Formats: sequence, structure tokens, C-alpha cells
Amino acid sequence: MQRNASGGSPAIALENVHKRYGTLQVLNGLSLNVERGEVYGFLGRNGAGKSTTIRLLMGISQADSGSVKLFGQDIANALIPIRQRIGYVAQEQHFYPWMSPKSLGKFLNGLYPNWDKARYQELLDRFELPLKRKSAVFSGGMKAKLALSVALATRPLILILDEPTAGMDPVARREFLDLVREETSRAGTTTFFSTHLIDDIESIASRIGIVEHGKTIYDGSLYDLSKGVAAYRIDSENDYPDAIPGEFAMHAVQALQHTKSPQHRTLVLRFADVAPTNIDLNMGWRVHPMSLEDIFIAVVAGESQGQT
Amino acid sequence: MALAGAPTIVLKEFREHGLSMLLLALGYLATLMLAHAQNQKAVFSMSPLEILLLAITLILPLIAFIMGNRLVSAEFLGHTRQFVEALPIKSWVFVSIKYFLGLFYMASLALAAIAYAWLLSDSGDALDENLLRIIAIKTLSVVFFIWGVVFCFSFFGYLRFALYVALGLVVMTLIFYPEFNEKEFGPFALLDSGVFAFERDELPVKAVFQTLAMGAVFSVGGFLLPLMREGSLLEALAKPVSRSNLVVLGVIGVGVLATLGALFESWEKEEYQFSSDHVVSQTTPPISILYQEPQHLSQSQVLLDAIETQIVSLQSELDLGELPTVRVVLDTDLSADNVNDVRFSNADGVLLRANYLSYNSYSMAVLNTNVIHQLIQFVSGSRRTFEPYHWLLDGFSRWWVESNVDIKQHEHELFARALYGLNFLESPVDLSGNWQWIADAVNYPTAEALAYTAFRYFEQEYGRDKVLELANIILAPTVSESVVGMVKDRLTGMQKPFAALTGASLDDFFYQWQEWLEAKSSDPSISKLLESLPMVSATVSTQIDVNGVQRLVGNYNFDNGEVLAVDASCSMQHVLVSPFDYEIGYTSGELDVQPCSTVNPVHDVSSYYAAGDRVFVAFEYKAQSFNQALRVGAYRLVIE
Repeated sequence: MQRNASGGSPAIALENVHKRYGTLQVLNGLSLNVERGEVYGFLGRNGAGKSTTIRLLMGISQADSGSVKLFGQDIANALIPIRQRIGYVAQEQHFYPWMSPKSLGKFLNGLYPNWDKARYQELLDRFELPLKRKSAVFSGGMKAKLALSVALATRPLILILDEPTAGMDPVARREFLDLVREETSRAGTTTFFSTHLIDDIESIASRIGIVEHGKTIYDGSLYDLSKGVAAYRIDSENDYPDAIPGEFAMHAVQALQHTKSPQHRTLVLRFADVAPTNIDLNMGWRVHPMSLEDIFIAVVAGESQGQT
Repeated sequence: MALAGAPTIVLKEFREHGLSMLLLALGYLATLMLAHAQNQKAVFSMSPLEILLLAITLILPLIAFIMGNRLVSAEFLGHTRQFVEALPIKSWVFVSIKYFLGLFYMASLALAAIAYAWLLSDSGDALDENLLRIIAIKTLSVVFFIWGVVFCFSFFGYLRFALYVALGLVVMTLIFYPEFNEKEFGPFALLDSGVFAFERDELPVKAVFQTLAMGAVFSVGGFLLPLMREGSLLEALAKPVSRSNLVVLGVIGVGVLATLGALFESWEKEEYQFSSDHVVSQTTPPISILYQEPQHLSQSQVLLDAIETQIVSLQSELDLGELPTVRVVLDTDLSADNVNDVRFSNADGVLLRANYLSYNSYSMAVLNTNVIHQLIQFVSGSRRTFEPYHWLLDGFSRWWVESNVDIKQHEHELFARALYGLNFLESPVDLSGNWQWIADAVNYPTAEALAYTAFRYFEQEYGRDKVLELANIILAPTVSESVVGMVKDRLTGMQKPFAALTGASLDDFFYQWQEWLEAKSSDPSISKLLESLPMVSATVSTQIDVNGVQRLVGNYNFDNGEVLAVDASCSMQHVLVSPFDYEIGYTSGELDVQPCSTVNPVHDVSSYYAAGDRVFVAFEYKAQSFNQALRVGAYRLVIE
């Protein structure tokens, strides 16, 4: 689980983190590492614990147990200096409505020692954000772009994105993601991209983590995930009770999803390694193509149902 | 490092709220100036420190509420909280900036009001360093409390309005609860209008600590709320109250109101009743006389009948509504001629103490005048002893009593007393504008006699019906206790209704009355009384004796010593006063009574006064020809 390609402390390291709000156990032994310069896609359904994880990373909340470290430092012990090196884009942007991008820049300049005015101006120009107009009149997309501009102008060591594209129109979303991709490849900024939309991170993330019920259920590359999951389908007319797609005895396998419709039955399997492509399937069964989203849903559903 | 970013946040607060704070401050100062201007125009003015009290009790809480909404509610209960909590600044620092900025602003406004009061104060206010310190501590303590409450409540989202209502109910409950004397507790004590501007010697330390403690509790509550449960509590409070919760709150509110209503009703103080068997009383009108021994019954009955005669006719002539019970307690420790030595408590209607066993008709008239005076005071909501009306109340009360029995019976003495008093006053005598000063200079019975003669002149000029009409217009109506009612009353004064009634100005009336009164000195019966009096002046000096004790020395100068009655007594009254106590109680302080003599000093007494103390000293001359003493000198001096 521990990866450390650069030799130093991981940019983000969560170890066996538990967090409870009242009777609700939100995080239940969550562990993950994000290496420096890595783009980490943090996937999970609503309520899986993504936002709580980000609150812990930002030092807004404290873990009940376990450790939360950024660059090897406990966030609680170095809250201000760590936050000054984090660029954060929330799901919804709640800037002071009376502030314009210009006055917002002035305000944040006093809080972030590495504030880059030129970079901020450059980003505002790129996104065509009016400098002197109050943010209250900005659309959701404009606010998200403003938030990204702010986050990048802080010259962050870590960029934390908390479902930033939710509610954006496709064009704005594309612009936003392009900039994130460009920034991460150009500056090598460690990026923690939380989303429930796998498409957002498909072309960006070098590694993903999937969280469900407050713990990590997958941590690896998107490629490995896509190669390790396969769906098999059989039409109802050929189906019979207890029919299985094929002989997988040689493989460690987990049934993630098992669905039935009047027309067919589908079984999604997760393999410990790469899903076999050369295995003989039983009569009537065929490999059913899966999108990344299908895979994500199946993985999450499998964890959710506790099927093994 | 903990305070990193704090200056930026402070600047942001000023940028966000600076204009509002400035406008509020300007509005606040404008209101103070307007209040001062109105005060100057008013027929009787308040001390600038009382205007300060007005600012603390009415304007500052409103400004605190607005600032609480802006600084706290809008920030923490709005969505911007989510933006702020991700910034590189600690939550407690952010909350502290809000708290201290608001507190600093409120304290600045309070101090500005104190400075304004200081600028406006004149010698009568004697706003010295010590008084300024006391006022400032009291004011800042109350401001700390107010801001603490507002700061705490502002975190409660929509529920804060319910909390303010609840706080109002708690305050009302405390005020109405008979076992709780709110004027001795915390902010109530500090804001007590009766002492706020006038207590110059002693800082109410206990009340200050109580106020600060309560302010601290609310402030700490305010600090804890946004930090508790990592802000999730605040998040819950920020949510609008749902309809079902609103219904629950409404039901609780109605229940609380109903309960409090029932409690208030049960707390109503039962009317005080004499428990002794030695009581003579009647119910219509309600009068009760308490005596000590069975043999006092007859004199008590005589007193009751005399009071009844006065009250029944008063009720029929003036529209006074329901009258409270008049109670008189026999107190044989009092001197029989000192009928002013009575006590009044409006908690149980009219309650007087008097030694009426050996009353002559004059003493009876004085006691009855007190009864009428207190009854009118009671029904007018204690507003008629305010300076413009006081002469009217005193003069009418005496006129009423005398005219109900036999107007000629004591007239000569009253006129002689009034004329003697004129010698000590500057012409023209303005009974309406300088009543307290007149009563101070010539003593209360003489001031009353002056007012009585003014009523006699009024009666002669306009007739008895107009006298009653004047009393019905000015004295009988109850003055509203609301702020609007009080302001209206202050601005109306005496001049307008008097002119409307008589067609003459009050100043002209006083001028003509004085001429008329002076002409009365040629009346043989009156001049005979006046000639029996020596022309006396008295002086006081202070000296420290060999033991270091401060002594007061009183000397008299009798211009016509040959008429000095052998049985005459001279008295020196001295009492420690604040600069605001215009009316000194007739029996306040110490009294040194000596046989009158042309050999000085007549009085030489030790005292407990210290350097810097303000002392009122009055000299009186008492001869058998007059039922009550005549004041021959009055001084306010500062002990050196």
C-alpha cells in the first residue's frame, strides 16, 4: 500500500482513519497514499466519505483515530503552513459576494505567502473572468473557474479538488479539466481529485482510489481496474438456474454485480489480476463490454452488497 | 503563527462592514445630538448623562443587533463560512476577530457618547474624573454584556429571534417577580435611571462583576458554538427553521406566555393591610388610620373624617379615576408641628406617618395637603413632581385643602410666609422654571405658600372653575409611561395649556401675581405677622479643630434684633449631597437646634465631612407666630 517513488514522505498519507459524526461512522479505517506529483482520482458515491476525507486533509475536521499527514507532517500540528500550500476547489464556490476577482486576489494575497499575482491575472484572462465584477453575479461555472484560478495562484504543492465540475455545463467542464490537466503536467502539482464522475479523471489520474462505506475498496491504476473487471451476459432463453459464465477456478474472483432482466442476466466479476480473455465460456454466455463508469458502479455496488 | 492572516481578515472586515459601521456611528451621533437638541428645547432638561443612559439602553442594543447580524450571522450562517474554513487561518482567530471588532466598535460608540456627555456637561453636572470613571466602568460593563448576548445569539441562525424574545420574557419575569429586586442586580442596577447619572461616589462593584460575569458567559458561549463539533452544530443552526419546528416553537411560545401570564397574575402584590386591631378605616374612599392605643381612637376618627372630606370632594371635582388607599400611621416619635416628616411609598398607595394627636387646624391642613399631593402624584404616574408642574401640584394641593375648609383660616400666615420668602428670591419669580431652586432657598413650606398664593391670584382672576379646569388639564391625566408619552409630555410643558386656558402667558401671570402678592403686604393682618419677624441672614463657615475634625459654624445677623422673639429657635440643617440633588429632604441629614441669639456663633458642630465633599447647609428661624419654620439661608459648599 505504501508507495514512495520520490523517496520523500508521501504528499498525502492517511492511515487507518476513523471519523464519526454522532452515530454515523463516516470513515471506517480509511487508508491511502498520494505520492508527490501524482494525480490521484478519489472516487466514491455520495456519502461514501469523500468530503469528510477532504475536510480532514484541509484540517477542518480532526480524525477520531488514525493519522492524516501531508508531506509527512500532521495537519493538526502545522495547519496554517500546510493550508498555505494547498490549493482547494470546493464543489460549490462561496466567495464573498461583494468581492470581485480583483478584490478577492488582494484579500488572498495577504493569506498566502506564495500568492502569484501574475499567474492569477493570467488565469483570469484565460477564463475571461471580469476583473471588477462582483462574484455574486457569476454563474456556477465562472465561480468554479475563479476558484481554480485562486487555487493555482497560491502556487500550491497540493491541489485538492472536491467534485469541482458538478453542475458545470459541458463546455465549462471541458475548459476546467483542460486547465487541471495542463497544470498538473506542467507544474507537477500533486493533485487530489475527488469526484463521483469517473470521466473527470479518466484522462488525468495516474492512480485512483475508490472509497465506500468509509474505507478504500480499490487503490491502483485506472488501467488495472478496467482490466481486472469483466462483465458476462446470458440471454434468458439460454439461461438456467446456477448457470455460470465459465470455469474460473484458476482465478481469484469476486462477483461484483449480479443483475437480471426479462431479457438477460448479467454477472460482473472482478479478478485479482487481469481478467482472462482466452477462457472458454459456457454455452450462451458472452463477454459484455463495460465503460469505466460501469466498472466503477460495479465495484462500488459489489462492496456495498458485500458480495464475494 | 497562530495569528497569521489576522490583519488581512481585519482589513476584510473593515472593507465589508466599514461603511455600515461608519453610517451607524454617524446615525448614532446624530441621534445623540438630536436628543440633546430636544433636551435643550424641552421645558425641563435632563443631564447629558441621562442622554447617555438613553443611548446605552435604546440605541446601542439596536446597533449591537445590526452588527451581530452583519459580523456574525451573515458570515457564519451564510455559505461564505465554507470558503472561510478552508483559508489558512485558525477558526478561533477568525471568531475572535469578529468578537473583538464588534466589542471594540460598541465600546467606541459608548465612549464617544460619554465624551459627548462630558463636552455637554456644565457645572451642575460636575462631571469630574471620579464620576467619569464610574460612568465609564458602568457603561463599558453593560456594553460588554450587550455584545456578549448579541454575539452569542447571532450564531443561532433563525432561532436567534426566538432567543431574543425569550430573553425579553426572562427580563420581564425578573422585573415582575416580587422576590427579585432587579435594581440591585447586574445590568439592571447599572442602568437604573435613578442612580446612573447621579451616583458619583461609589462604584457598584457587585453589579459590575455580575454584569461582566454574565457578559463573559454569553461571550464564551458565542466562542464555543462555532468551534463545537467542528462547526457541524453551526451548520445545523444555519438551516432555516422548518414549518414543523416553527409550529413547535409557536406552541412552546404560547405555552410560556400563558404560564408567565398566570405567574405574573399570581405574583401581583396583594394590597398592604394594617394588621393591628387599632385601625379605623373606610372603603369609599379607601382610607385607613393606624393608631397605637385605644385612647387614640377619637383623634384617629377625626383625622379620617378630615381626609375623607378632602378626598370625596376632590374625586367629584377632578377626573382622577380610581384612587388608591390612603394610609396614615400614627408615629408619636415625630414632633407634632413637623408634619412634613411623613413617608410615602407608592407601592401601597399613599402611606404617611404623622403624629396627629395634637394637631391644630394648620397641621391638619398640612397633612391633608400631603395626602392630596400624593394622591395626584399617584394617579399621574409620578410625573407631576417634574419641575414645570411641581409648583402647580403643591399650590393646588394646598389651595384645595384650604378652600375646602375655610379659605380665610390660614391665609394670613400663608401670605406672610410667601412674602417673607420673596425676600430671598430674585425678581421676577418663576415658579415653573425654578421650582426646585426656590424650594431649596426658602424651604418647602414657604415654596408651597408661594404656590398657594399664585393659585389664590389665579382664582381671583379667572374664577374657581378655571382653577379646577387647570388641574384637570395638567394634574389629573395619567402620563403615558411609554417613551413617546414621556417625550410628548416633556415637549408640551405648562406654557401651551396655560395660555390655551387663560389667554395669558405664564410669564405674564407670574409677573402679575408677584405684584399682587407684594401689594398684600399692606394688609394689616399680614403686615403684623411680617413685622413680628426679624430680618435675618445666616452664614456658614468651616474650620478644622485641633483634633482635626471638620466643624461647621453658623452665624446669624439680625437686622432688627429688637423683635427677636424670646421663644425663637434657630436651626442649622446640614447634609452631604450630590451635585444633582436639588431638592433636599426637609429632615435629611443632621439638625442642630439652638435658642436664637444675636451672639455668634449660634451653631458650632463637629461633622464627618471630608475635603471635597459637597454639603448642603440650611438655616431656619422658628417663632410661635408661625406654625412652621422659615428658612433664612441655604448654601451648598464644598469642604476644602
